[in-house]
Amino acid sequence: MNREYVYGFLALIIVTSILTSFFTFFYIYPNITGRPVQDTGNVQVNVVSGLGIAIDTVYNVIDFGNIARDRTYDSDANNPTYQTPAITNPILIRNEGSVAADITICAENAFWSGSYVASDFQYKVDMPLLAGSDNCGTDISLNNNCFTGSSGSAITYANLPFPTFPNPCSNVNAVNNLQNADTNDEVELDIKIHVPVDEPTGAKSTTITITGVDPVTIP
Amino acid sequence: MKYVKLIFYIFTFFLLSNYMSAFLISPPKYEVDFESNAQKKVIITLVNKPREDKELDTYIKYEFLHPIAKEELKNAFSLNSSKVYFTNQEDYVYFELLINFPENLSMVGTHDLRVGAVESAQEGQVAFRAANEVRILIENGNDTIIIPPIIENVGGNGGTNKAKETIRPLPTTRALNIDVLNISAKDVYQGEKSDIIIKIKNNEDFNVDITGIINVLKANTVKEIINIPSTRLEPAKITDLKTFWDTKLAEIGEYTIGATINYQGDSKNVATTMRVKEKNFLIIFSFRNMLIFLLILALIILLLLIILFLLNKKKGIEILSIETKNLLPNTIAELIIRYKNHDNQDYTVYVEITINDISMNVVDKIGTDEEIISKSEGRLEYNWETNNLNFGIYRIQTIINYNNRKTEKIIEIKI
Repeated sequence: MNREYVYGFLALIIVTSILTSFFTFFYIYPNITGRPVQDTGNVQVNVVSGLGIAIDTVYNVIDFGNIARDRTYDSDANNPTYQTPAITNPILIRNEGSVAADITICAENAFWSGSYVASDFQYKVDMPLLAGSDNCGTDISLNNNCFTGSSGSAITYANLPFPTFPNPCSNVNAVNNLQNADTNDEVELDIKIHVPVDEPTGAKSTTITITGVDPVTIP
Repeated sequence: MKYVKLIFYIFTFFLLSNYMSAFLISPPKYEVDFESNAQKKVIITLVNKPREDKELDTYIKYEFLHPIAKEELKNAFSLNSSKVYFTNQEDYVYFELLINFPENLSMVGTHDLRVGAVESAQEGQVAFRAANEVRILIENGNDTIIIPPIIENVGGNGGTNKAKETIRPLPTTRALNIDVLNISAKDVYQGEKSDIIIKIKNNEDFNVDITGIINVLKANTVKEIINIPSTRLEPAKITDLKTFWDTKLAEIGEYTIGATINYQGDSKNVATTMRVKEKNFLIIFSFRNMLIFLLILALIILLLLIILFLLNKKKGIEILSIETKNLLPNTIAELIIRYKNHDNQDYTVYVEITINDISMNVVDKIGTDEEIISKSEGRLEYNWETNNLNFGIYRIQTIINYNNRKTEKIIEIKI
């Protein structure tokens, strides 16, 4: 090949390379996002987050079906102490946020209109055993990876609070310190009902609000 | 086929079981100092995760205030909106808690107000809905959180309410001694990154893990949130947390960079201001960038000069070699000059041969015109009378002159 063309071609490659580097440095590099930097601490940058408790869209409703007076039912399919309709599942709550969260619970109303007592409408939280849920360990209070079962969590049935004018719901935790890592951020919520002997017939319904909040020191 | 169906069912179950309609609230906790008759504003961010159309009700909850503080603060708080709406194109919506403190707050300590958002309930016998709250910690004097008495509802009988009060002791855990010393953020031109540095001192003698967020505000509106994940502070040391804000989508103007650092049930805030300046191409280059630019430019010019030099060197007429024959005193020696014409052009050249002795005295000179045709190699032959020459070392300089250019070659010979 003619030497002139070879040198010309080489010159073209070199100049093109330099110009490409130049434009990369000044115009492309400034648009790269998410450049973590590290000094003594380790800080990553990503937009978002905060606190976020959510209810699984599959396990988000409890329907006990037709129920009889003076009978007890619950949604704990894992440990069916009471009469549990086959279709009834517990609720699955997940911490979608980037920080641990406490969870409080409050029902809209007492659910019953007969001569009820507080223990006729109860709740407890449990390690999730639903299909596809997190593995929280083997012992709910001592060896539980998902939340603090030993204190501040209602791991046995407790009366479900509801506002009784002028008093609001009790300000106690249902779940203490639910973790936020994807593998251990879930908790089951079970409901137990006892139908008062004089409960009128008809459809019953209530709404239960599950509230996530930044963890509070448990005295 | 049945396997295809099975896979489809498993896939559908997998999708359903992992799908979560959720929203996040930020910051999880916010501290505000009580100031007599002061007006303050807290901007709360709701994150649409995953993006979908949503309607949320916002609320203020006073249940975690002590009854005395609740009475004193009953008119102090309001929200700018009772509902917020997401579309499936939006990641964030914001609402504001407006604070109008009264003249006095009698209880010393930290009061725990909750501000949150709640979604709609599902249909069902026992239906559920999720809410998420920000703890607004109103500090009045010290950081011991005042916890109200527990009102335990023990059930009713057709509307007859029975309530009992349980006094819960105050928390005994002390606040950690962490100082957020300062925050700095550089003024930048639009499109550049502003380095943000937060200096935090851990005064404890053990490691403390912190998290936090950085709110970027313009005219009290949150424009961006930068999350600070868990970071370990070594004992008795100042730690620099470094991050940056990319201003490529930012408007020109002054911004407030506010950081909230959270640690073990406590938090501290620090803020600074910075400017995003208009990008002017003539002045955008900082001195450092200009230096790099000049260096690159110099490199390009240098490379071009080298290339041109190399190209020029090989162009024209090249003297390939100078050979001698019969090189003895008092005889006729032969000088043979081999050349190559690289150009596509014929030349009439003047060949100038100068012979010097070792002391650079000219001992002989030959000059002649020659014709050299284009793109050719050839030889020029000359006779050289070596009368009166002695044995020794001589230098033969050959110059071919053509078109105001010249090519030269020098050799040494021994007679």
